[in-house]
Amino acid sequence: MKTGKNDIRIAKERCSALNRRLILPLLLLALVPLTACDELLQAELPGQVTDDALNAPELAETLVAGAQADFECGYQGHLLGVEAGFANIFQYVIFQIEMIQIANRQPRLIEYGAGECASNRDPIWFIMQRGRVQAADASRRILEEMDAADVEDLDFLVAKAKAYEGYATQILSEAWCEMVFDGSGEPVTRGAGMAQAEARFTSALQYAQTALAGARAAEAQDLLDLARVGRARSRLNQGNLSGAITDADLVTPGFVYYATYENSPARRASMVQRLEDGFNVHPRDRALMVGGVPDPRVPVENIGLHSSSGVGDWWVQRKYADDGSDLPFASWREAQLIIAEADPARSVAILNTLRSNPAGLHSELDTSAWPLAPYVDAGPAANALAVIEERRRELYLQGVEMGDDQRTGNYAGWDTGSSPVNAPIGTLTCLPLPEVEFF
Amino acid sequence: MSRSFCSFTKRAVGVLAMAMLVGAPGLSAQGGTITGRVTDSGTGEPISTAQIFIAELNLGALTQANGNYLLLNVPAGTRTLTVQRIGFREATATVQVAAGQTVVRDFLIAAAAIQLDEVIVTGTAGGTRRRALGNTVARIDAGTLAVRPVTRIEEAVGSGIPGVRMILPAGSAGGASEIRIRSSNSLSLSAGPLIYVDGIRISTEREFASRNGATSRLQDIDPNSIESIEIIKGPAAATLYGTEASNGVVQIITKKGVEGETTFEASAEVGVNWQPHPSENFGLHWYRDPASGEIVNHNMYELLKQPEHLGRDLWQYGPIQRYNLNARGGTSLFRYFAGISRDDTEGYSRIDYTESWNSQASITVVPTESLSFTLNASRLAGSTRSPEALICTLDCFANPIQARRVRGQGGAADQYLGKLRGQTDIRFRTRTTWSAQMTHSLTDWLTHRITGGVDDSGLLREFFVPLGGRGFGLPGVNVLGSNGREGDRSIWDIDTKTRTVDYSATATFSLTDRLNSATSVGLQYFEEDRTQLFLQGEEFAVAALETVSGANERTATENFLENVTVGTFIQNEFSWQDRIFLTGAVRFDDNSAFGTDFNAAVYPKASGSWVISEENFWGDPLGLDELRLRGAWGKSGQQPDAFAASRLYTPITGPGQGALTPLAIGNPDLGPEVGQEIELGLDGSLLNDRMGVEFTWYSRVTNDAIVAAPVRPSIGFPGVQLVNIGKTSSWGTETSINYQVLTQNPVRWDLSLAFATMGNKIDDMGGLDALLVTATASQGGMRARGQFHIEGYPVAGIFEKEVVSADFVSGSSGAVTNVMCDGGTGTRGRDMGGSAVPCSDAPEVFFGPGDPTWQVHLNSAWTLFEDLRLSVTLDAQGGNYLNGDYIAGQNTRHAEKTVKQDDALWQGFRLFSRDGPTIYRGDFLKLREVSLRYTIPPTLLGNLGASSASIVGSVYNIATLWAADRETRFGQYIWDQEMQSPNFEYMGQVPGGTPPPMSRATVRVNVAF
Repeated sequence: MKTGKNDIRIAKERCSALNRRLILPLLLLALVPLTACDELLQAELPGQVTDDALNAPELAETLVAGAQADFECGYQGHLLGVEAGFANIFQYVIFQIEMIQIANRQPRLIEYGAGECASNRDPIWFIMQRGRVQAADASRRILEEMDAADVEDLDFLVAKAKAYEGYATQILSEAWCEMVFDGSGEPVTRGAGMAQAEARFTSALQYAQTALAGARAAEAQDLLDLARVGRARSRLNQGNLSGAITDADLVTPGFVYYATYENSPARRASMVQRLEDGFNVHPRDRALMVGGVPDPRVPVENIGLHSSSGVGDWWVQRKYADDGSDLPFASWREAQLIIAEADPARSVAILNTLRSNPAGLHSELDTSAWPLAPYVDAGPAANALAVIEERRRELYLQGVEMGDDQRTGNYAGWDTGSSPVNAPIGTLTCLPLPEVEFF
Repeated sequence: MSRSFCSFTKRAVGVLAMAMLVGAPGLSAQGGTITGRVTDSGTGEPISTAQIFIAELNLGALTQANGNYLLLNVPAGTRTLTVQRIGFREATATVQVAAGQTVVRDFLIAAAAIQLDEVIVTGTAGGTRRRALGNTVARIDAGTLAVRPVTRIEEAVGSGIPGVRMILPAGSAGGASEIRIRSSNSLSLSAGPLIYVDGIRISTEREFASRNGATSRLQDIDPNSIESIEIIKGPAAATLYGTEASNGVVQIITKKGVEGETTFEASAEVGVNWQPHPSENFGLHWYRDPASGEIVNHNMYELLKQPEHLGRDLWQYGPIQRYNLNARGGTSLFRYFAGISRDDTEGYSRIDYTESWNSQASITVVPTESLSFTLNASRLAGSTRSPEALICTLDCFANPIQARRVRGQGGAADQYLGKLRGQTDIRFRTRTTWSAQMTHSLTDWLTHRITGGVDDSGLLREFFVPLGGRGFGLPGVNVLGSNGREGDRSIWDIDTKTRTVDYSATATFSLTDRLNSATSVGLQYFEEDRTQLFLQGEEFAVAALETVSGANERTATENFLENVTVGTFIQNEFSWQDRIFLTGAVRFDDNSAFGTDFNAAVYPKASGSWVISEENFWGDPLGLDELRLRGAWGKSGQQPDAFAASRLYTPITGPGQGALTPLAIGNPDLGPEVGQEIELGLDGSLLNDRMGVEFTWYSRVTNDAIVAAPVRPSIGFPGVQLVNIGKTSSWGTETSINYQVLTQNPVRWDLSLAFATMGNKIDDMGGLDALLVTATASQGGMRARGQFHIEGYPVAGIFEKEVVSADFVSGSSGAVTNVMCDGGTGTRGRDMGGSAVPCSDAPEVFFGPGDPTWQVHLNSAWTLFEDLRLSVTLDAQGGNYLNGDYIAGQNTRHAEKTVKQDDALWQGFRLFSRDGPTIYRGDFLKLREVSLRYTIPPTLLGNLGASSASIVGSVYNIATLWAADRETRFGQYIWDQEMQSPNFEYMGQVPGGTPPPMSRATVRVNVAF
């Protein structure tokens, strides 16, 4: 059959119509790949660092510094929220419900904030956990992700990270009723937590020992003492008294180790200022005496009427000068008191050693009152109580109160009934794990 | 094509042809002249490009921008003059024309009840006529804006459009306000719509998350520059806008040049802002009188007026001055518009103000009939000062006894003066927006358009407290915090740039005589860069030092964030005889915020529209003149913040060196949440086109809703992890009715009613029991009080423990025991009405939704003798609850033993449910606005050389006529049901220190030359 002109015209029209219909879909087909073009979608974020960039060997020291900074953030939060708030070293006298929930020890009412250091939301669980995780992550990356030959001071850095991980784990295990690691959702006992802390201290000791031969020997010696005090503390809490004594005896006399702070930026400041704001020194710690004179180890002062609340008889601490004051968390004095508690035969001698020798005290304390009045042997039972009381004074606001009360089961100093803001006080003696750990 | 549209078009072509002939030399004959002006009977605004013609003579003309027309050489005799314009009802008049004489005949024409042939911006090249859309699109034009005392676009769109709400600005000059369209659907992302200006997406994110210092960038848009606003309400309509459009899109089209002589428009407006009911608002504080031991209340506001305190009224009538001048005109080749505005407004606090210069220019070049270029530019420069913490002097004061101390002793007066004099906080705003558009018809069947532009908004905030400012030199007074630092100089410099490139092409062709097709494709590229610099210096050694570098402690941070979206779409529209339309489209998007394991998002849509009244079988049942049925289904997305998918660490100051700390855990599987909506509705006119009705029903499901799931803290990362595990649903109806009750002089009466219902529910939260509402990271991440996302309940519902009984401890001074709470009931144990349980074991029970569930807007306008127009507007909404933390701040939070100590229930609430006593219902009816407009008759304008002039007097936010709750259950006065925190995406939070909304009275004079 021949193709006529009309057929050709129709074919052209159809072709033209087809072209019209196809031109835009074809254009779209050309455009669609653009949506998947990575270069077009490339966005910059120069102010932050992605996870995979952290495995560079030159960042090893930075990672450990981050772990230290986060532990220090957690430690000042622990002092304020756990020690001063929950364990009643202080009383909370301003009605702000977030803190009340912690300070009043009511089951199911406690909420832990998720904020930052120096936050009003008391993120005490998170910030110490972050310190623990950061320390663990730093040592893991150094040992597993980096080429050892490229990491300067590897042993020292790993020892330091392990020591901070040990302390964070130990402190969390002392304060919380249970311990949980790494979002597992499976809680373990406090004892298991402390055992893990002990393992970290043991690892820290091994690396620190090796680091003594390195370029940073003096710092490694401090880490060695830090890990010894930490492991002694852990062992004491677990009932391994001989092990505790062994470690404590090796601590260098006069040793003291600080969490470091600065007045600014806020991330580097402690919240000691808040102990002069919403808190009042617990009555049992006001005007403590030793040998008939004010005890210089618990420096507190009555500043009278508080300006914004109208509450009178306002007592504030004077151990730490300001938010930039470093906070000690391990010392030869603590090691000595561990020995005194673990070995009653040495307790009187140790108490008197400490009363005659101000070595290893917090550097801002006035040591002019030393030697203090000596302790007189009062028999084994009284001596044991004296050791606990001496720890409370010697290590005032040094992060051991919660662990001491847990270990001794003595909550006699904790408030009951109603708080100064008329809130009923509950019966909790350890902090419950936050529900969010089980989401 | 529709019969009316075809008829109109044919006639218009004829008229235009005649108009050309009329002007041709040699055709003049002895006759008269008809002149006059065409104005909108609803707004009184002049109408341009209306057709004026005498049909029997084929003689006609077009009105100019000022509404004037001129018919020359009209043969003498009785003539019937007809006016037609799309969107308006036809009008006719009979005039007697005499040779050599001029007849003046003005027309007031009324808007058509429904406007099916109005062209709507839809994302495709050339726009689409309303009749083809399967979804509703609300539109506001310049005429409406001109007669209302609108100072910001939120006021324009937030009142009168069903389903669109304005969250009222904080009561300060330049305070932040928000626009919300339909119900909230997102659990963790922004709820605001996208804003486009002339096709360019602009950044309007509010800045600074303080309760009274948030800065709105919506106020940058000058209402004087707006030609029209179109509001696209949900996913079914916003599919072509892609991955961030599920909360709707607001399209702002600015004024452009028009063909004709240059016309000038000028306006001047003066007025005042004030704080209504200050004595009641700031009045009630309870305390126990130390002398008598009785619990009494005192009025802080009145107290401060006393000579020994402040000695004057706290607040002022803040003056308002606004001026605008613009010009436009052009030829068939070249058109232009240029305008400049000045705003100088003070608030009532004596320190808050906003001032700005705003300028716009637009040039359109039309070299050929098939090609046009338009270049738009605008520039804003202004500054705003917030009332800062002054409000908190009154509602947050910790201790009433201390507050009552006289001046010089650290009482409230000293606090107030300390804040007033000791601190300055000013935000300098700039915005430059450029856009260019080329539209080209390649052939008669293929049109394409490319739009590109840049929006650059800058915000410089300068904060300063001098040495001693925190304490105002008074012992024991520390008005600005308790950290003991002396002096503070902080500077934030935020620059946000957006770049938009939008290409689209549309090909049309006829499949048969009756069936037409239009195929569109498009590509859109959007990029947003945000740079933030922060400098701070604290502790000045001497009072003369005022700079960051002069401070002892200095901090500097720099942040940069970038986000890119690339999307393409294809759409095909079939039309059957111009009355049945079926449209299908799909859009593909990718975004830099999506996780590396997430592929591109795909958003399909389908819609249909049937102008049933144009069918032959239509018999005008029930008096329906026109009726269109429509339906649409579609998807669009909502994306998380940039880099939400990435695991990030951030630098911090470490011990002696820099360090890193975890910032965000990230989620490589993260994708956008996808809203899927079905919408059905109708548009109709009846009663001889005097009544227009629009009704829309919609139902939306958001799948893969992004939930900000808390990260288990023992993982070591802060905050939340965004995961696509949620599902929400929302629904609602939107009805608007416009009725021209009286249409003839001397009294015309127009009524408009907008009514909307809305609701939402969380269907799935991926196993989470309750998620506390928090502000987005960019808004400071603060936590709401008593507002949660809980499965089975509305998004961001109000929940709080409900104390039902408490006993005083015998012999104590206020201690309570046996505090019992509602134990909850219902399937999830969160409904009220359960048995009493100890409060420590009680759940937070459900009070109600945070967002309103209904809204009503009623406007009644009477026009007398064509010149005088009185407009009264009522707004109502409700169904929602608010957490009035500002009231809790007065009497619950701080004052320990001084307040309501003799009420055991109250004390029980203080211990377990601080916000329970101050949760109240949000239902209200307000007299929103009364305005009176007088159009000056042309006869009075002759000597001025003006072509038109009017005077508008208005009062805005006048009075709350009714509220479901005037007081809390413990008798505390509720300031204003529209108070809202600017920090949250949802309504429901009113923190302490929030300034109540202002009232406003203004007089404006409009003149055109």
